[in-house]
Amino acid sequence: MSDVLKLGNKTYTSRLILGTGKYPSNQVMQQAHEVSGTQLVTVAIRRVDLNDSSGESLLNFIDQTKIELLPNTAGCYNAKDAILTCQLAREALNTKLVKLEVIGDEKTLFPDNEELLVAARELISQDFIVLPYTSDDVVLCKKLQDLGCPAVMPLGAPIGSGLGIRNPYNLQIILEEMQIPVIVDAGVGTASDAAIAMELGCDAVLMNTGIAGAKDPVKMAKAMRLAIEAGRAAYEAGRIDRKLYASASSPLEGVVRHN
Amino acid sequence: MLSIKVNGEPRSFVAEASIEDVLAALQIRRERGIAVALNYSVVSQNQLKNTLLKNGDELEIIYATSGG
Repeated sequence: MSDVLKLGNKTYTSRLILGTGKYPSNQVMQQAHEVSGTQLVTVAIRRVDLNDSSGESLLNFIDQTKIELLPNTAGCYNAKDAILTCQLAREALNTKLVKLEVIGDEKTLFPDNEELLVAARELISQDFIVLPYTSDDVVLCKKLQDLGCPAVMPLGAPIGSGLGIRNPYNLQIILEEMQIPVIVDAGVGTASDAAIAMELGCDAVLMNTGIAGAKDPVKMAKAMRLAIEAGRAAYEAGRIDRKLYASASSPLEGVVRHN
Repeated sequence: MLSIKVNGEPRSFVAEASIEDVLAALQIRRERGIAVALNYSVVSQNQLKNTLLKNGDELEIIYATSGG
């Protein structure tokens, strides 16, 4: 239990946080969650459809004895809406843990960092545990840390893009400067992307489309679990330095030669 | 008649309706993990029964659904 992810006063043995969106069915989602070993999954907060209240509840497909809910503020474009969404989520789901995202642009879904800071400050004052989805900007991440966020969640690439870790150097700077966990949120397209994030030293990865949109989401969930574990182990093991030229692995002495 | 807005839609109910009455009239299942805001302030679950609505009130009724 020594290598755990700590978010505020909570600890998790899994470093893979998953979404619940875009799966072919709730049953497939449930299997993917199970195979991934995730202990934390995001859910969206939406208005009840007054003309169709018969829908199957997503919550019936999440084993809350093993998996904790992380309500998000997806779709919110200002601090005011994000704050109300979090307050409603806390009441509906009895959790103070929230994934705060305040979107600033419809095409890129990049965050509106000004509104993000406003919302984070207010929510923390209301005793929420705020996990903010942010740009991969160290100055902003420091501000979020100073406000009292227990982790920061910089994007690897635009949400749902599958472009992977587009700026590992920014992440490296963030990792060096933060005293709190850094979780890559968004952009992971396949297992190697998750491994790269973890090898850099990220504490966890949050992904949705990378698994839900795969041809076989359950198999991809397994691949992601292995990638997270492999990447973390490689980070802890400490990779070798990169060198431009070769360095022989076999002894240079005693090579068989014609005299 | 009581005229209010529910999730942005105009709705009418018999007078003296509480939030709980409105949830029942709209057949909203509580086990879906719902929460309610009245005029943009969250109403705790144990106050839904006691909170009476007045004309022009705006209710937001939300639930948890799939998302990333």
